This record gives sequence, structure tokens and C-alpha cells, in this order.
Amino acid sequence: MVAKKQKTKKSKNVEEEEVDYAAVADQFADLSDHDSVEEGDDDDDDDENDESASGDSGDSNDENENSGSDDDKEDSEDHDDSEEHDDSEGDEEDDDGEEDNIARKITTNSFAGPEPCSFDMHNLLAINSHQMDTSKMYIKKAGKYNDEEDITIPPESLELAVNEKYLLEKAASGCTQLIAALWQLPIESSDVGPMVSLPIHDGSKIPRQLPPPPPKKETKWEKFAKLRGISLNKEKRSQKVFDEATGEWMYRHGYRKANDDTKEWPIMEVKGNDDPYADPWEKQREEKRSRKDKNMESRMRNEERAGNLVKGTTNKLLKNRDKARMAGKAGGDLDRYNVPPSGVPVDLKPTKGSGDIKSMKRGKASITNALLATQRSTASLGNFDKMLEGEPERKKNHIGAKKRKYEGSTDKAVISTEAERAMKVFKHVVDGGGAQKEKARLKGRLAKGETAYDYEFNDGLGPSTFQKKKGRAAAGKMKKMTKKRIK
Amino acid sequence: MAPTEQQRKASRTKELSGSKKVPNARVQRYLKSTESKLKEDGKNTLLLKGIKASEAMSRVLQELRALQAPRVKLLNKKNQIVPFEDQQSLEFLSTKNDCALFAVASHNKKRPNNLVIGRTFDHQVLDMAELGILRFKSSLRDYGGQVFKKRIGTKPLLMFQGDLWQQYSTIDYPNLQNLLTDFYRGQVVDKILATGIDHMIVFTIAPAQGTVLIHQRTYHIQLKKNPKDLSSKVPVPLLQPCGPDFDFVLRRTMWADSDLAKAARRQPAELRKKKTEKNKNKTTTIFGETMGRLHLEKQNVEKMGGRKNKALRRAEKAAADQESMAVESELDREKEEMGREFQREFGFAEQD
Repeated sequence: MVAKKQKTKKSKNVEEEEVDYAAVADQFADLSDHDSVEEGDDDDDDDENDESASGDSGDSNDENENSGSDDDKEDSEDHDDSEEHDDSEGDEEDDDGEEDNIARKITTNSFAGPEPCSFDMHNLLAINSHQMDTSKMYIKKAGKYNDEEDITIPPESLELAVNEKYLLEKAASGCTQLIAALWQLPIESSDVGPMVSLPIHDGSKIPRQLPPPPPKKETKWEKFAKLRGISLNKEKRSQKVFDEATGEWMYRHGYRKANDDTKEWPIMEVKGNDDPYADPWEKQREEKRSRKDKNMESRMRNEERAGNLVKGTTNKLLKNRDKARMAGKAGGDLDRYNVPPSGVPVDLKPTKGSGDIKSMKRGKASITNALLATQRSTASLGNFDKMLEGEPERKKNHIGAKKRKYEGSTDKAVISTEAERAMKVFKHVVDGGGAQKEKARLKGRLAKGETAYDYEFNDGLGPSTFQKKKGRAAAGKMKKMTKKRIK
Repeated sequence: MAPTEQQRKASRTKELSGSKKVPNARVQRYLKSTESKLKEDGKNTLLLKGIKASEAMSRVLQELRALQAPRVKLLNKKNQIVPFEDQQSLEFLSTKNDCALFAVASHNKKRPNNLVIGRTFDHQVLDMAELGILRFKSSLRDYGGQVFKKRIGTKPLLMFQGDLWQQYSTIDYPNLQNLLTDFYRGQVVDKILATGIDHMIVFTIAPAQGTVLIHQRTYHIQLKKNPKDLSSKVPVPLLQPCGPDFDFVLRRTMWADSDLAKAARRQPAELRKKKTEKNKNKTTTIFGETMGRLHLEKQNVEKMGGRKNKALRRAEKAAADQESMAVESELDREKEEMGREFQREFGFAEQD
């Protein structure tokens, strides 16, 4: 077998306190046992098996007939071993004389042992609350356990070594009782094998990992249906429905559901009362949107009633949503319907006097500006234009506007300078500035770049704009305006 | 750690209104599985290393992983966690990994071969016990090549031996028993395949060397026919030690206070043990009819009012009429008599 069995001293009282497996095994020595461990035995054990088997009178070796437990077999081997060594050591007693007594004492529960256990079958737990006999359980280490030094954590600090055989025997007795108790539970046969129904209630009262979920609160519809006795269709409805279009069974709800009328088809049928000039796709989108909104609203209200949401969130949300939608619509309409009337320059900034930006009112300032712009918008800069009735006097508003000279293509002056001018422009583009830029750089007007991204440009900051004091200090001290100062 | 009430409500509002980005279906399914259930399945275990972990302790964790597979997560890196000082890091890790049980292995001079096992409730540490491993024989390495290999997911038989498991005066051993049961019991099932039982873990407690030692042994079970009673269907087990074997001593513990412990063990109403109904007033006849008996107090029938209907009202009216007629006739007779008396006395009738 796998574990090396330790030889224990058998006291005279062993039969009274616990089952002497060795003695019991002797009874079954003639029953052959070929049902050893499935994984395969060690060579030693095989030899021992053969030895005992040879003593048999050729019994049938059916694997189904498990006539003796391997435990007994092992013990019988041990017994044989101990007997062999008995003569040399002279310590072991011969149990032969008492074996007949044991044989008569054996009952069906003898494997169970004299220490009954209590059980918690829900957890397959056996509790043996009898006192452990430390004299039997522990053996003083005397250098016998050299093989233990190789284990992962060797027992260096322990002075005593555990009597593994004693523990095994106790465990075996407990296990037998536990299995007997297990077999007393209701058994149902299934295709896998006999299934034992374990009790539902936990005898050990092991704590949960999470508190139990709060009971689900009924929705408004569920309450009403319950009151009126209307069935909820939860169990009646099948998950899949036959779809005529594709001719297969598709899911009732969700993505790619069966019999989906809400899809957008390129050609829409005009039914009965519908207006033939209405936009059916727009209508469909509106319907879908309204359904979504309604669904969301009712879900939120149900959750609010159940207490999962703060009271009043639904109303707040709906209000905000409507507001946002209205604003969005207005914004869109602005582009679609509120085109500024022709003649009003759109890029002229609305000033204080021009009223609200959105109002599209020009206001006095922008009107005067517009008028000025239009007045000089002729080839003659408005000099020879007829004055209209009520039109204000034209001030010298052509000062800022320069009239461009007409440059004919056959003009000598033009032809001679055209190439130069073109090249200048070209250079300006290619070289990025040309002579003008060089001049500015030399003069120090361009900012010097610290990084690769700071290329030379005139940022408008010069010595005149330099401010020594910044922030609040820049405003300066507020000095009292005395008469002297005013003067 | 867990979101507050307010945070949860805000999050839920966002989910419902569509402003929160909902993860894909697979993630949603996983998150739903981590929510609290009415009837709980087995707990997952988180295996960690502490500040310093020796190779032996790593092997211990690997062994535990083999025992508890597939409901176990073994983390490889060392963590700056001292369980008895600060549980916040532990709680975070166990929440994120969805593991209610944990084991932290560490090794230092003061506490060699230290294993802290514990469990959480509601994302908070509930109980912790520090075990000092004095001897460990690994099933994966120390038992030789031909040892039984535990199949993944099988449920063990458990056994606690020794009278000290019931003692709780100095050290709370019943709580430790509870914790160890929780740690090793595996999946919680209603039915189990009787022939599928293949191993048993035995915890033996005994006083030794001045302290109390706990020995954990694991045995492989083979069910054999009862040799003495070949007709009985109840098998007899054959045990073989297969490891892992631990000898440990209990160092420190941190048990939950009684309120939290009670709250953690509180099962929902549907799962609580129902008292057997006493139907004293229900009887079933031989025909299969169920009869019930109502027991009422004595009723004062005379003073009770009854329902009125037309016939009763008519009868009442008739009775009342009769009475009034009788009274009238009485009065008439009296009057007449008085008239006669008057005439006798005065010689002429009263009316004149």
C-alpha cells in the first residue's frame, strides 16, 4: 500500500476499546480479495497479496464480489509481519487464543466501532466528541521517522510524532458510520447512479457570503393584475415564436425578433386613414421614440415605488429631458427656418444696443454699420450715388476704403512689374515672409522661439506693451483725488 | 468598499435613463452571478501570499488550490497584507475576485509557516484564524507517484474528532470548527451521487506539548461490500492516506462580534426551518373530504341583530298593528266603563 504502516504494540485491552482489524481480518483470510487499489499496487504489496492468496483454495476472483476490505488485508499483512517479528522481539503477544472470542463478539456494526458520532448530513460532517487518547495518539520520536524529513514542511518543532495508524482506525470507524448514515437518507436512482437527497437545513449554521436579497416589490401592473385576477402570462408565453417572413423559429423579444414590424423598409405601404403626404419613416421613428420613452418612464416609476431610486427622480428627469428636447428643436429650427433676412450682414457682431443675440434684431449700431458699408460699396465708393429720401448724410466714410486701381493686362507698367510682383508673392509663400520678415526680425519685433514649435511670428508684444506689475498690482494704488491732483 | 445607498440609487437612475454605458451581455451575466442569491452556492476561495512567503508556503497554497478547484483563485504576487492589522486590502481583493473565503500564507521568523484562513460576509471580514503549520505532507509531492489524485470538484466527507472541539472557554474551538467546515466543504448540494464519495478529511484535536495541536488528515475512500453482511446495500469504506496532511497550532483568531455573526447566519424566510403544522381542526373523512371545524366563543343570540327582509318587516308591521289595535280597544273599553260609571254617579252622560 501507499503509506508505510507503523507497527504498534497491541495491548491486551485492544478488543474492548476498539476493533482489532487484524483479528477481524483473520476471519476473512480465506476470502480472496483481488480488488486492490485501482491505480495499482506497489510491488511489495503484490508479493504479500500473492502470498496470502496462495494459501487460498482457489476461490473465484470476481471483482464484483468484494468479500473483504483491503484494510483488513493490510492489517492481515501487518499481522503476518508482526508475527514474523514477534519471535525475535518477544514483545508482541499472540492473539490466537482470544480470536475466537472476538469472532463471537462481531456484529454487523463492529466496523463502526464503539464511539458513535453525531452527524450533519447537509455538510457530510461527522463529529466524534469523545476524548482523544493522547497516550495512543502520540509516540515519542526516536529517529524512526527519517522519511518525514523529505516532506514539504518537516516536523522539526514537534517532539511527538502522530500515530498515523491510530488516526486511520478512528477515521475509518467514523467514516463507516457516516456512510451508513448517508445510506439511510432517501435515495433515488438516476441514470448516473444512486443519488442521495441531503437534508436542506444546515446543521452547522455556516454563515452566508452575502445578505439575502430583498424581496422583489410588485410593479403597478402586477399589483393590479393580482387584484383583478388577471394572469401575468409569465409561464404561458414561449421564448420562441415562428416567424413567417424567414420561416424559422426566432426569439419573441430582443434583437432580430420574430415578426418585427418596426423595421424600416425602403417602400412603406400607405394604409387606410394615413395621409399619403406624411413621412412614414419619420412617423415610425416618432413612434419608436415614444415607446422607448414610455418604457423608460414606467420602469423608473416602478423602481421609485419600490424604493430603488430617490423619490422624484423620474419627474426631474422627464422635465430635464423635455427641456433639452425643446432647446434642441429650437436650435435646429434656427438653422432651418430662422435664416437671417437678406441684407443684414451676419458677421457683424451684435453689440450692446443690438439686443439679444438670438433675437435677430439688428439694433441701432449694427444698422448704422450696415448702412455705412453699403454706402461705400460701389466702384466710386459712393461719391456719385443718388441720395435717397431720409438717408443720413454720407460722412467721409471712404477714408478707410482704398479704391483699387484698374490694372489692364496690356499696360506697359503692369507688364514690366507683373513678373516681379508675382515672384514676390511666390517668395513670400515659399520662404515664409521675405524681406519684410527679415526687417521685422532684425528690428526685434518677432518672438524668438524656445521650442521647435515657436517659429518666428509677431505676437504683438513689444516693449511698449510690457507690464512690470501684474495682477492686482497692475491696477495700481487707488490714490485720493485731491483738488491738486485733479488740476 | 461597497457602494453606498445613495451611490447605488444614482447608478441605477443612470442605468435606467440610458446615460450610463451598460457593459456587454457576457459581463452583465457575470455581474448578475455575483449578486446575492436566495439560496447560496459554495463559496470561492482566494489564496494569497503575504509580505514574505517561503517556497514551502507556496506549496501549501498550491495544495489548497488542488483541494478546492475549481472554486479557487491563487494569486501569484506577494501582497503587503497583514490580515490582523488591516483588513481593507483583503476586503477589496476578495470583493473584486468574488471570493468569500481567503487564505493568506506568509513566513517570517516570529511566525513561521503561517496561514491565515478567514471568511467574509457582505464584503467585510467576518472571521479569521491564524494557523501555524508544524508539519505538512503534500499529496502532490510527498506521497509518491501512485497516490490517488483527487478529482476536481468532488465533495469531501468531513470529520472532527476530539472533545476539545466543543470547548469555547479560552479559545473558541466550535467557531474554528465552523470555519474549517466552511473552508473545506466545497459546493453546497441537495443531492449527491452516493458512489461519488472519494475522500475524507479528518480534523483531530488533542492537547500535546503544552499546547493544543490540530491534525488534519485526508484519506482516499473506496467503498466495499460489507463482509459480514453481504446482503446489505450499505457499503463499508476502505481508507488510505493520500494527503494533504497538516499538523497545526492555532495562533491568533479574530471572530466576528455576536451581532454580525447572527446577521451573517440569518437565512431568508423561504429557507428557514418550518415548524410542523398542527392541524387539530382538520379531519379527512374516508371519502377523502377534508372537513374543518371552527371553534367560536359563546354568542349572545338574543342581543344580536339579524338581516331584515320584506317578509320580516311585514310580520313586524302586522304585529305592531295588532298591538296598537289591542291597545286601542283596551282604551275604548276603559273609556266606555268610565262613561257608565259617570252616568251612574251623576245621572247623565259625560258628553253633555
